[in-house]
Amino acid sequence: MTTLIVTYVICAFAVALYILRMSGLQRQILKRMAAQQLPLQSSAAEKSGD
Amino acid sequence: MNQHTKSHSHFRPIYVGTACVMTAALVMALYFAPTEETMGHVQRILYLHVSVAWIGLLGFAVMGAAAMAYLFRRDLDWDCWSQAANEVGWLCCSLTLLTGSLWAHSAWGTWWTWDPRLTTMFILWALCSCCLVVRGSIEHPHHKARLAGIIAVLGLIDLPLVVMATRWFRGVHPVSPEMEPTMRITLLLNVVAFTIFFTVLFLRRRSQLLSERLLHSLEIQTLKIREMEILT
Repeated sequence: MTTLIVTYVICAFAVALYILRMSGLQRQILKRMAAQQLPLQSSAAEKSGD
Repeated sequence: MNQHTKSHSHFRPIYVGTACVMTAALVMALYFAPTEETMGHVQRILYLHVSVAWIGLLGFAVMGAAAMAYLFRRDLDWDCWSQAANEVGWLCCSLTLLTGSLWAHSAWGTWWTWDPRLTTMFILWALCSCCLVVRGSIEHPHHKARLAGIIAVLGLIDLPLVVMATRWFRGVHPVSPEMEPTMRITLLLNVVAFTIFFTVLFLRRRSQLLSERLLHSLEIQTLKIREMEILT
């Protein structure tokens, strides 16, 4: 039972890390778009709290 | 409501649907599927292992096909497809080796053995890792895409070997074990759910890479314009 739980937890953790990395990169893209003064995305960057 | 928020709400049903299918698959695998007599609860790793292995192979196939398209057309859009497939494929290949190892420790009493299926899968993972290292270490987009593309296309040779390893060579890895109908349905549901989940992840990453690339060229153009303004 422990092996099963450990396996599923590790997999969930790995996928969560990848999703977190993706959302971090997305925030960076929005920041760069705001720096380029792209009007639509700059408001989205402000919304994301950056 | 701005366009960005609109596009997010446009994708929300897909995300909610994916989350629902994934939850159903996990509940089926961990709760409803019958417990196997010999291995007990550890056998439930199989639902996860087969699903991620399938996505790993699919990811590598997409990566190879996109790399081939890039090498023929020299269009960096194809490299975005290839890179997204590379990342998702690598993640799934790693999880396949990890879940397989944990399963093998309970079933065979060893973490690793040089079985043909395991070895060919390890080679696939190593090639996926090579592509990621190449992408991370070369600056020029076309040089990076070309080298990663060549490795991906060469790696396609390993793909049929992984799939057919249990039939062509003698080893300890199970071929297609007998299963109860509920187990078979659970396995199928898990494969479908994981395919949907990782496809959504792959498409999101691909569009992210595309916008990153367009933004990079826009930044270079802006820099050039500013330089010209300063000079004049």
